[in-house]
Amino acid sequence: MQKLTRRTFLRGAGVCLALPLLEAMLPARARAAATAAPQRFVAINIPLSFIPANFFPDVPGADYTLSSYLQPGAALRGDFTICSGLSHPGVDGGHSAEKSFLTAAPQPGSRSFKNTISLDQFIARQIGDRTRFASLTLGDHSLSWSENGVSIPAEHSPAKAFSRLFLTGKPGEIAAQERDLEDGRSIMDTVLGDAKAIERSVGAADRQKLDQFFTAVRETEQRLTKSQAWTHTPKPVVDARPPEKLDDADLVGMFRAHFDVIRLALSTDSTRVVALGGTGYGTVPKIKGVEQGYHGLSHHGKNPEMMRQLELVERATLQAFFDFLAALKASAEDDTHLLGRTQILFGSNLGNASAHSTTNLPILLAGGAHRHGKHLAFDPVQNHPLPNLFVSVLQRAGLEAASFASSTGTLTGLDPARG
Amino acid sequence: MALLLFPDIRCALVACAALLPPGLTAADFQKDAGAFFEKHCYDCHESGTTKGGLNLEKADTAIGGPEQADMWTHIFDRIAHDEMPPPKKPRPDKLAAAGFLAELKPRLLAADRARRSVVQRRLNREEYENTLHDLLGIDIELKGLLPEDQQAGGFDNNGAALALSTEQMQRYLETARMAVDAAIVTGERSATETWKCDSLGEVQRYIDSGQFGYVDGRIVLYTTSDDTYSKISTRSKRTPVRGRYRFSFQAAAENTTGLGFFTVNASNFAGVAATSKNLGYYEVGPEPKTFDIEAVLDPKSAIQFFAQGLPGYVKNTPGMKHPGVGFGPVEVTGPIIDQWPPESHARLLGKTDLAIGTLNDAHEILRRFLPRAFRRPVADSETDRFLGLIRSRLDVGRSFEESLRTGLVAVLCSPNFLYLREESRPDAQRITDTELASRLSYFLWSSMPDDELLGAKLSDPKILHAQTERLLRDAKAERFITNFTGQWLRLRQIADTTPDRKLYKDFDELLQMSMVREGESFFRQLLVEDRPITDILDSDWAMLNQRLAEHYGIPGVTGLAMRRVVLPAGSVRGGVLTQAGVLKVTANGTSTSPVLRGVWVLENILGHATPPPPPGTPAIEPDIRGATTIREQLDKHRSSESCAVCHKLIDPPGFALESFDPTGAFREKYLRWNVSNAEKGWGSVGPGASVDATGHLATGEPFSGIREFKKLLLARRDDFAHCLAGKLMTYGIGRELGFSDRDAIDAIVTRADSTGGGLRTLIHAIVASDTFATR
Repeated sequence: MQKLTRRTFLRGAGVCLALPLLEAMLPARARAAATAAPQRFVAINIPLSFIPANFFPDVPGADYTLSSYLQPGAALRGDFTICSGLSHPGVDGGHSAEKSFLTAAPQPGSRSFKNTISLDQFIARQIGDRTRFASLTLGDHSLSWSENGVSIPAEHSPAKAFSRLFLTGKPGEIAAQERDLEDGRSIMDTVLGDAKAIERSVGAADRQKLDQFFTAVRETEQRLTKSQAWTHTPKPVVDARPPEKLDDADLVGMFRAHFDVIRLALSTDSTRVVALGGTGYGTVPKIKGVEQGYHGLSHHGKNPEMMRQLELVERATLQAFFDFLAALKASAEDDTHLLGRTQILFGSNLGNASAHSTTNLPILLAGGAHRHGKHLAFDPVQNHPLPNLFVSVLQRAGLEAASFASSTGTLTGLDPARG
Repeated sequence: MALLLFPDIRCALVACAALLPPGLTAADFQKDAGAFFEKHCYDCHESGTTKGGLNLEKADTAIGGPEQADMWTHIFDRIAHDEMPPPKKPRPDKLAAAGFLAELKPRLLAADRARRSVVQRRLNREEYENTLHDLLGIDIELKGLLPEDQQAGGFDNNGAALALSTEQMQRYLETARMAVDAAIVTGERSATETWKCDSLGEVQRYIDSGQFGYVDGRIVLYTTSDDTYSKISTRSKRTPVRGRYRFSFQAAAENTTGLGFFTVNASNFAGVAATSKNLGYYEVGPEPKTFDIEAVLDPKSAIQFFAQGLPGYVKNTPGMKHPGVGFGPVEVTGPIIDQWPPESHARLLGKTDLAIGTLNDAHEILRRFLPRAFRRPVADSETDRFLGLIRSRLDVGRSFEESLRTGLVAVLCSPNFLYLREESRPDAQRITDTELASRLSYFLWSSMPDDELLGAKLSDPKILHAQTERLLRDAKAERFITNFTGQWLRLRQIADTTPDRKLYKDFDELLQMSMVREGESFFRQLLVEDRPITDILDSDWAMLNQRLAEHYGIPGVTGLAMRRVVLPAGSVRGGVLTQAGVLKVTANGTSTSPVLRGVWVLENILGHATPPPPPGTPAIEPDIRGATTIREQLDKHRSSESCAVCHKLIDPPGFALESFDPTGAFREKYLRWNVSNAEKGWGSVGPGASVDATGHLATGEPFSGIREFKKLLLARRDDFAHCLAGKLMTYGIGRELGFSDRDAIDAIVTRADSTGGGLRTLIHAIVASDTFATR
């Protein structure tokens, strides 16, 4: 039996949970799953990458010196692994590579690109039924893709994500929502009947389309059923204000707001899988000393003034990220902390934005039960497959997976934590 | 792409095909192909050395499956275009090559045809929103709530690519509810009010400090900001409910004899999720003018004013004489209600009173609604299914209104609504008139057919022509212009990069907006006047407004409206290649790349798809500090023969376009960053190396710059016509074209050419073709 320790760890995070989350209040399947320690996964993509020279440490191994960009993470050195020489085999196409960051589907820039399932959704399919939300997709671009390559829209607004997670409607609204869910299921039933009726008149080429439709309708029905089961479980109450109104150009403020929401979502076990896509837009970030658009700066053409401004943006991004890691570490859970049970993949789909290259990606893996503290340096010319890291992540999360996309094994040098 | 380019090979091919002994077997072809490869190809393309990523040992002469068809098409084209074997290798004699191609062609045709059928196509989000707007008579935004659509063949309306996921189905359920809710009204009619909003109180202190001016009751802005928030607004009293409002105000340009420009945005100020919707771009002279702007707004919304085309900063001195735009107090009237209940309500429900409706009423409503929603006649059994759902909801105690809504939402989640359904009839490849009506309306309106089109006998060529004309003349044809140019000319990507303000000081929002309008209005002009499609390659006219004319250095154009302007003799403009929008989306904001622009010209003008660089190719990193230009870097690239195969095709168009910077302005010199203090990162922008826009085509013809390059393009008119017809057909029927479509596209181009070669004529030829009406 798992101890009820939510109050303690939430206090550690500076948040007070007013609701004792009793197991009796959880739907049956979630109750069964709650006995094992939750394994969580967060992916973060920074689509304009980082200036490589400032990001990667010089030497491999445990004795590497922190690069200038990694300095803010000095106190957390033992909680992350830095990887160089990784990339997705066959993934090119400049900015379009962001579509393949979590899927590793080749040639995202080609005219007839078809995407495949993303790592977060692969995990959510297996453990998503244990929480109110199977997964969260946040940010400016979506990292999440369904099995048949449809993008899952990202929630741009931290405030909206917060309200979905934690704000409960009035009793009347809840009753209306319940009716909607029930009616939704009967709609799916009817539509299924409608699709079956046309099954006879479709040719071979349309058969696949119709099968997709059947699957989508059946799964929607299952999701509505799950939502119905959760309507009677009140949403967790957190002692945190909803995120403030933010300007799109407030790049760092936006990051921090997303990170806060993610931390709250994980600590209340509202979800265990999150994907956050950072901004690649041309707006001028509201950071002192930065006067030009972020995207434009990334095409610095080695212009020192532009590189100086770009550095300000990138340092601020990394500072916000390490603060997020620190906050997770400060959130106690059982005899460990949130960071210990959350694998965080942080990186970029571009190696060098100024050259639009998709090799030598900056990749950092934090948290989870890994033996961290190392710089795993792979060949910068013949890169090691990044999907191998994905397989390691899956296995460490306790999921059965021998391969993912173009993987050739697990990530060499990434070992489980001792004990 | 078209064989027309290579008359000698084509003639040889025709001659050979005629000589070909009948009944050549598969075994013969396998033997002949093997011998041809052995002699000319295997040295570079077998499992040991797969140059260009091609391993001919994997080519199966049975050509089974799409990958094989693609591979053989690639082989066919390289030989037919005389690109392979490369010039330095021993060449097959023309008759041998033509003989091989003639043997390959019928097999490739059959293999390719087998994979090309129009598949049941899901509405993309653009089409989904338009269809619900047209079906229900509503105007709420829906497409932003749906996942991004997948593309294939350069367009996002491709049936094979448009997949459906669970996430998407859930969203359809939500958006269908929103749409039905928007169509039906239950509350009381809101009273129409009129009130006045004056921002003077809020901005008085800025007027006192000199940041804003105040002239004859108008608050004057002297700067253009790229913020989404303006202090001059109707925020003092926001809209009470959703509806149509009229905003009436005075504006005038100050301290100038010319025009002042401004935009009006609507926002609901809902925190982080605040909407900001541009209601339009306006111009005003020194004489005060009254504006009446009508728009549909959300509850608690207001409009805000932004001056455009002014500097980002001016020195703050009281009594200054900087040019500016002044805005007077705003009189707001609304919600303006023409009819109650609204048209959407009456259209859907007829005379049914929701409070006392019965199952019989629901039956009537469904009988009217279903054929329009499904775009075809509907069987009773289909109506009964949805009626059954409504009955089951009534049975569990839902109100009539709730039950009816549920039934209508189900209709909008049905595959019959969500897909352009074309029934499979083993005996006929041609689709029915009803199915053709949908194809035609989704081509030209990006939405459902209206009653007249659904009832038209489109198999009659005269009627088809007349209906096509009617659709093109309708305002909804604007959607075709926007969606087609948005993807073909990539105008949808216009805001993806912000040009570096220090390097490109002239760039502003007004220019960016004008770029999109230029591309669209140029295409519209060709369409309306049925101008020859060669105008797209080069023309002696352009569609310009004041902002673009200034950008291009063409005098005598005032105001924001796009109009036809005859270009001065020797102008570098004319055609689409030198339109600023195209030049911007093919650059990256800071620098230009001849490779990216070259690939764009090859793919979108000449119809020549280029493979991506093989893995491991080092990327070129722009460096604007030193003396090396991008061209010098590229020359290194091209010195290797395997790179040169593609780059001798890609680079020349890109070189010709090097005369244009990332904002589309003409340049003779690159900009260069001059370092003054390396430690502190200080420096300044100055002129750098001269632009070299000369080059020669892969076929040898030299050009001295963009003007001569366009002349060379005109000589390739047939390639372009084939390419454009192919793009239009791909967009029109929502499937990628292949080898087996080439003859049909050639026939369409020939037919269009024989009747004038205009864009409108070409569209008629496409619509009238068998391909357009075949599954």
